[in-house]
Amino acid sequence: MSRMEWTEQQAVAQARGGDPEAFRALVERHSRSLFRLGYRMTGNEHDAEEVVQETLLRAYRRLGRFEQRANFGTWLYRIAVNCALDLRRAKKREESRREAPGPDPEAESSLDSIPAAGASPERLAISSEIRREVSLAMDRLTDAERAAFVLRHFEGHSIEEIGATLGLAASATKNTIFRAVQKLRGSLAPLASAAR
Amino acid sequence: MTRNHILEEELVAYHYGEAGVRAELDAHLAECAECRESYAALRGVLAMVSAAEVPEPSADYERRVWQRLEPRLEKPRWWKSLAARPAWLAVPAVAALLLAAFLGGRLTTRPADPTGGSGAAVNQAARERLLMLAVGDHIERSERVLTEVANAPGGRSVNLAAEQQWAGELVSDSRLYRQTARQAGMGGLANQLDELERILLEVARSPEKISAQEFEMLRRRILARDLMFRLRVMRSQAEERARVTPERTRREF
Repeated sequence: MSRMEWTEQQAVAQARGGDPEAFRALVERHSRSLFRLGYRMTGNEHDAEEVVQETLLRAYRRLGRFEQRANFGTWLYRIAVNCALDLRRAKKREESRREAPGPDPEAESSLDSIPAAGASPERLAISSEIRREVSLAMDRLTDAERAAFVLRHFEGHSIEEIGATLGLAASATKNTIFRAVQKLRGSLAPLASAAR
Repeated sequence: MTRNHILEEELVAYHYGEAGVRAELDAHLAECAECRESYAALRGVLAMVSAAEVPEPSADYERRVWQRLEPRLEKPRWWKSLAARPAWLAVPAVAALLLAAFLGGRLTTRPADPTGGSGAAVNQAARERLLMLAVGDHIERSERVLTEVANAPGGRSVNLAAEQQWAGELVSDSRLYRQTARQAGMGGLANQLDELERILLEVARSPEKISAQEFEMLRRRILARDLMFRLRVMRSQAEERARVTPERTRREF
């Protein structure tokens, strides 16, 4: 049987048995969705690539601990979220350690960049502009808010699943998602209403 | 109207289809223009978030991921013992030999004797590069064991027997590399290795099974003070220095 023909369960079982081709099948099956998750968690391609690599590496090392009755994809996503959070924390620490000699021209305030109310809908429709604004708004979320929101909004995970991933109770998970949405509304509402 | 306006929190739950709010809020939204407007605004923002596309990786993305990943995959520990390391990296053999060379005075921290010809300098460069290679490998192994500990599955008690054994082996290696680095005039590296040694020692000396609370303390200790990040930096510096001149190596460590 080629690696393309394995079911997920078969591939996991084979990989746990030491078959690198089986692990490769799992990598091929999940790396694209891991990249999307990594991108949404970190906001850039380079970091998303790092999240994919680190996630797969950690998953490989922990395959022996994976309970086969569980869903492999969910398990992998949980690792990916933690990798992304680790990366974000490490980068924040690094940034705060550095001296800040002056304003970073790249880090323009979103308030400065929100178009005036009279901006044309055509301009607002430029996807790169929207992406930039959304990226800035997402960067204002805390790590937990960002993770919870990404898992809820983009990945459609349940409150219980998100809580399990982030180690939060259901009520705290709901509250975290709510805070994230509130912040996004605060940042993006002017742009969204101008576009309506 | 049977209820007050919908709270923002309820609208968010409604939007994501949480059970228990849908039917009630459907009825209210049908008759309340203000709440409909509020919900439309919320949907507008969330639609904008959704519209910010993620760049689509190229068609051969999966192949590229595997190409980069495969060389980094070691057989997990339940497949092979640590004893099966490459012979040239059979630490502490490498560290012991290096230390002997440094302590033996064949390599000093002073600039090479200008009248001594280039042979001594070449040997010195070769030994320092070997030290950097070995230290890079050592730090990578230490990162792995500390990552394993920090990410061990929680529970009432945590079994760290495998990690302890691994950490125990790394402690003695670390000590030799630290002494060697100090002899070579790399005080910064020696200090960092000293810090690494202490946390490895803590793992090695912890009981095989520790309570959830003890585990959390150990985990925090590992994650504190950016240790993992600094280890990554130290490793990349060592790998980089393995390719440069000895003078620069000493200056930067």
